[in-house]
Amino acid sequence: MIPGRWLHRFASFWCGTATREQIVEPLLSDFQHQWIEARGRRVMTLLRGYLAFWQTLALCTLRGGWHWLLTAPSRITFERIFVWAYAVGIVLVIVFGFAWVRTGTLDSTAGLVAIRKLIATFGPGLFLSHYWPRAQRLQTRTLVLFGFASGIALGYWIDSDGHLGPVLYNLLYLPLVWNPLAWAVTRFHYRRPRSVK
Amino acid sequence: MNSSLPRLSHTEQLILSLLSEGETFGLDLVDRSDGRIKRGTVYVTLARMQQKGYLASRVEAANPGAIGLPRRLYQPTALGLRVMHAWALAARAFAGQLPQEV
Repeated sequence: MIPGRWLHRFASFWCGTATREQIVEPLLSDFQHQWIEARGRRVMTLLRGYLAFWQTLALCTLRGGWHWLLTAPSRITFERIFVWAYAVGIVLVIVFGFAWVRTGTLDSTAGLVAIRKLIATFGPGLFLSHYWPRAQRLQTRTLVLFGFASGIALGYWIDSDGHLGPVLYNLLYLPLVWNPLAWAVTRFHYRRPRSVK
Repeated sequence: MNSSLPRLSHTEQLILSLLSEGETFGLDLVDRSDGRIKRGTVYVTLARMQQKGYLASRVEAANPGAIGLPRRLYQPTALGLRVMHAWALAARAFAGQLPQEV
């Protein structure tokens, strides 16, 4: 079986159309032709081809991310997604943090520790599930994963020991993590290319 | 009027120089460059040069029964050749003037 087929499938899933057609497919076609012609030294050909593929993909990610930061051409509705995550998070804070404790449904110790961790991850999870299917480009998908990981990491960093009260924790977490992230993303999203003088 | 000379990196100069000898594919450029063009970056550079208008490309016609993806072949555009020649002239002029100024 000719190599590079699963790489092509992966690139079709991961990269945008232009990147796939202009960069990945020429690389894979040269790789496949070289492999066909390389009789007796196919292992080295395979290793070099796979290495070149991943190098190129990494370079495309860096280049695409930088280009996105400068031009922000995609028209993705970041604000709507953030508002959704924010609104749902606040509703959950109110429900879990006040009502259930006051009515005695849950005590304020063990049960709420798990619940507030769940809330802490809810915002990034909502963001990921909403945004991932819409992000068709390599750089926007990279940004989604980065935002998801940053949200979770910062959330646990704020309350790694679980000393803060659940309401205070969530009130800290939401504005500290999501507000700056939403601000940064929307700022870059609406940034126009610099005019040529 | 924008009178600035379009930018051309060393790698782009080399690619244009190699392609001025005839249409070819990315891996052939790597092989003919004596290690100066890297396989992990050549396709990104070629795509960028196409965006700049220095290169044109076409997909090779697939033979019946051929396996694998068809190759993409590159050739320089008139703009690419003009920019390459302009840079070569500028480099020669600069190399000639520098000792006099020093």
